Amino acid sequence: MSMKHSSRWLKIAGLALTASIAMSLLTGCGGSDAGDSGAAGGAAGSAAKNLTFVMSGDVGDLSPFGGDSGGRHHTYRMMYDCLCASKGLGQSVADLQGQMAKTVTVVDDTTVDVELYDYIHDNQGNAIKASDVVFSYEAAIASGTMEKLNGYLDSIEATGDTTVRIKLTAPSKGAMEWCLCTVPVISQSWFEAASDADKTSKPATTGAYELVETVASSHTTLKKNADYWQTDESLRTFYGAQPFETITLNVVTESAMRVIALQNLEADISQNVPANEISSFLNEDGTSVEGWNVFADENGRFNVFMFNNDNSVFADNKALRQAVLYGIDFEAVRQGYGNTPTNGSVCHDFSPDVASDFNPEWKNEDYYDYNIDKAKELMAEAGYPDGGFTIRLMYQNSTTATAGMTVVQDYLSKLGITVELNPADQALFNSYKYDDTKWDIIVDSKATSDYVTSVWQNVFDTNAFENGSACFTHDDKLQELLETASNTTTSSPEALDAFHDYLKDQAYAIGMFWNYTYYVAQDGVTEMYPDGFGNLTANTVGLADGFASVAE
Amino acid sequence: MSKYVLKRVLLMIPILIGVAIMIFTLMFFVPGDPAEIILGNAATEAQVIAVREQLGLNQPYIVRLGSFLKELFFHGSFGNSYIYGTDVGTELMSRFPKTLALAAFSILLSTVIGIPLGIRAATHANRAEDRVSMFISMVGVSMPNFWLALMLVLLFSLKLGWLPSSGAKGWQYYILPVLANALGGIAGIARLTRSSMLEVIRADYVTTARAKGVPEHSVIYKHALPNALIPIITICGGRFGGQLGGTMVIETVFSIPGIGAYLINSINNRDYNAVQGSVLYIAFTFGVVMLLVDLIYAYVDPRIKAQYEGQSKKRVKKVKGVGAGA
Amino acid sequence: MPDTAVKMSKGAKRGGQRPPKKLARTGSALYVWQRICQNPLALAGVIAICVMIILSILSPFFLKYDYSTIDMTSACATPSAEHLFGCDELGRDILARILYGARYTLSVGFLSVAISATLGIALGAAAGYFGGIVDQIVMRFLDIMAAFPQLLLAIAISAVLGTGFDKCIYALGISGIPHFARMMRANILTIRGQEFVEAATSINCSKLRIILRHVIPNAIAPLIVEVSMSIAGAGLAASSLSFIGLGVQPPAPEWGAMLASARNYIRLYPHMIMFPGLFIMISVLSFNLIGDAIRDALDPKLKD
Repeated sequence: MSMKHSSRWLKIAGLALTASIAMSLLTGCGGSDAGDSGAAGGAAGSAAKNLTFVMSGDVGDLSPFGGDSGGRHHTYRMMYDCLCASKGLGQSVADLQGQMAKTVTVVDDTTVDVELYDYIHDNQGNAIKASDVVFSYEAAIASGTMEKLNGYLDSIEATGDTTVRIKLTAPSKGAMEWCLCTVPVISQSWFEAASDADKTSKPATTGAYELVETVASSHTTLKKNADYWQTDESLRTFYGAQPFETITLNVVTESAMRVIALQNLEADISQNVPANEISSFLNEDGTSVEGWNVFADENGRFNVFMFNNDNSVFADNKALRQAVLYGIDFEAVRQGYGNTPTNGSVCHDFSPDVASDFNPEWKNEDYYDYNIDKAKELMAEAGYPDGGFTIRLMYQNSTTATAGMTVVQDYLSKLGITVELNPADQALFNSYKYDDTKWDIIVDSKATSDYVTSVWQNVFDTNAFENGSACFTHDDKLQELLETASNTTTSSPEALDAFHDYLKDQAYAIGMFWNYTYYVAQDGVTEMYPDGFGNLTANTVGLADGFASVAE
Repeated sequence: MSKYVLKRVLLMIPILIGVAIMIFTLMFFVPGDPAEIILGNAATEAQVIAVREQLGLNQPYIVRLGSFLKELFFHGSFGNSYIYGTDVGTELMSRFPKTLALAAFSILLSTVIGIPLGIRAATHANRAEDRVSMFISMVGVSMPNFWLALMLVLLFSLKLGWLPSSGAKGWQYYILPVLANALGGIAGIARLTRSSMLEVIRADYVTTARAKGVPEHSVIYKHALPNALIPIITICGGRFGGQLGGTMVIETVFSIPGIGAYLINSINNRDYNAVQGSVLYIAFTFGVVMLLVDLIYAYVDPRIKAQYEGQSKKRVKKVKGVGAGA
Repeated sequence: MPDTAVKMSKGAKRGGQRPPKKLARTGSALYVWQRICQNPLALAGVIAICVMIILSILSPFFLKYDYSTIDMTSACATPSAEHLFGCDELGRDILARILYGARYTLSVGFLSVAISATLGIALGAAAGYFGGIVDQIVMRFLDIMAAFPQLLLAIAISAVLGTGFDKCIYALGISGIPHFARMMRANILTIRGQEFVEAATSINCSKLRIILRHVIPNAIAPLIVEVSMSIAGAGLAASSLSFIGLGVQPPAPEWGAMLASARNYIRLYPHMIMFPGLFIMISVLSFNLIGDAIRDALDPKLKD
């Protein structure tokens, strides 16, 4: 009898416990709004000592020619100086800031002469001369991580102790700017003598900050280079600024944890704050909530939607490709990525509209605006009036992308097309994307920091692919139009229009949309200048008077 | 006894070789390779092929396995990370203390809470107190640890602002991760302590002690507990493996630079050398802990010592208690 | 269930212990069931699992919302009378997804443990019964597998197989084999030495018959506990796999996958991660409670 009694009591206790956990958690995360950050802007008058920057991507290999990684883009430009620096998108050579270059003289379409400052040295005291520049470019190509340079560069030679001549293979748009602004210049004698371990953990660097420590997938600490070669502050580019004694870059992969780090005063700046979290920091009228400064990470990245044009139901069936494009509301897909209505837009070309040669007229055209009736008509024309087939859609796995692709799946089901979602992690995605047997539709991310033609070339230039292009096109007319549009000697608004129109009509692939995330900073950080790809280098921020880091 | 120890240590060598071959083979069959990560998404086909060749990834399985094993066993080197360029061995050395601290403190916390809980439950067997404490510990083991971790962060970092949410820059950074990781262990240990105690309490020598008029408190703590603790040592060892596994997820949530986070990251990056190194480190640590557990076990229980010397191969890993929190 | 064998084994093992009053024979299926019914918590567990299965099958017929219907206008909606558990980031009804998704989560648990138990028991039985070289080969291989913490092994196998519902089951199933095999082998070793097996051998029963009729049934009984506990463990491991981007991935309404996709919203919309989490907890808890009751039932030492 008493046994029965206690068991009923236990059931109630169990329920109460479960409920109380749920309640405590609900209240635990309810009303915590922003605003109670008091740390930034305290301690007026003292010089800024530290900055804690939280980002989503790992820094990877910080040796001069290390591989591509999300975090490296926020880091390497303050460690390594290049010949020039660019601040913004699509600048011509004349608009660049000289970093190591004292002067840059344009000789012809494909050639420049660079004169270096004669007092450059790295943080270990090695002087940097023209021969080191040549060596750096050669080492960059040899490393394999800057293959783009291999395509652009015809030759680089030292024409004197501090003068270099750079010659390109073709007058490709944006190529010279890329070559001048991207390749880190280091000392040949150091690089040849250093061990692999030294190159990654104690590199001899030429930039305003030097590496103290880097711990993979955790954090990287940099400190001010007290012996920075560019002693004349008026000649420093904005990558040469030294507002902090130390800069700590913490890798926090979970987006919710990055936001919590901000609110819990563990970060001065957080990169990649998604739109679904921004309401804590940004008012509806677009101003920042008190205590915070929010910066939109608008950049040249966008998502593309490409058909398998060689080995799928879409090959040689233009009407079917068009039907699919008309049948999807890409604005809904964009919002499916977990974003708000205001922080992005659908594309109007196979490029983002921030590119400097983007034709604003394209925005007024019908770029496969959602039209279900037209889609159904085209389905019939394509020979599939009721759909009835299955396709494989491959994309790079993330929870946001999956949400967006689920929307695509939903729309295509209305045309009778079954979509099998194939999320792939980065390595898998990159190894399957050039394999025409692995997918029928691929959603990929592309970017340009300068011209629309950079993206077009990256995707459609037949010379770079074994099977036609990134979406397996075999179309000589497309290639011809691409070459005309991207060569600086033949390029013209008409040539760009011709490629744009032809690609749109053929519907091999389209630009889908872009969404931007946000940089959120404590209100002591007042200005930010991310590069064309949206990457902020931490020493370039503008600060309020008396800025104090949360770490102080 | 020393012969037994030597035998056990020697037995670890073929197991580690086996682990090395197994993880190498598994990674060999994982589609995708580091070349694609190094070059990023904008890479063209030609670039990928060039880098793959440069890294030696186009060589056949047997050649790569051979050079991996040669490097490992003749030079004690795991090679360099494909992604970071750093020496994997050095990297693991610097990360190991963090993972060990996380796993060890989790075990410690599980034990410190689990054993008294289990004793209490045993001495009050089948009363409400027993049922409630067992039920609560059961709830603890039934939550996904990352879910619990996120909930703890919401409460203690975001809402209350007491503890930091990520990183590993001091002891206070370990509180939430250890809590999230340990909760599963508490139930297991409490459960085992309870059953072990119940068993011992009914044993003849305890009854004898009671009959002789030894106070109940003394019966429990002086006579019963020491004997009941013996099997608990084993489960702590077994749980340690679970905790090492759990640290992979927990380190990822809290951005702790330990081996677990490195391993997950390296699998995603197809950073073969780093994966192989991390797995061997974890397997080795796990093996050493299990060995120590067996030795302590043999040391404290003469019956087992005798049994070991007779038939060491027939070691029976008796894992009782809650086995859920992998 | 070969009751005679069970009785003999128990009798041999615990000679002299008196059988409990008014219950079926110790160790029989009926006895286990009776014990579960006596234990209110275990009974609650059984009921919870059954209710989940039934609701999962019936939910498409009585719920107002479909588990996959997207409605961006109610994205991230908090719980209300209309949507009892609220909506997820695509405006899908979370209650419908959880109920429908029970079939995924529970199948992952059942099927993966079915794989590990079947293969593990077969391997362990072979090793334990034949001994010698078979034992050596099997056990050395299992030693290697057991040198990996189980979740690590599951992660490594998942990396090879890729993501998806079926692959998650294989990965968890394979990684659970060593545990079952070792336990089975240990049990077999105990039983092999007992009188009734010797008796069977002496009357010229064939080896296969001895294994199938006598050894395996007696060695399996203690493993029932492990099965229940392992189903619980597999549920948790599956959600960990989803979390690190392996295993079952969204948009499948598997609970672990739902947790994985909701974690970006924990700060502002915690209901999205709370409900799938609670359901994982309840189902795992249920299996643990059931396992616990079976353990008590099979181990007379723990009885009052």
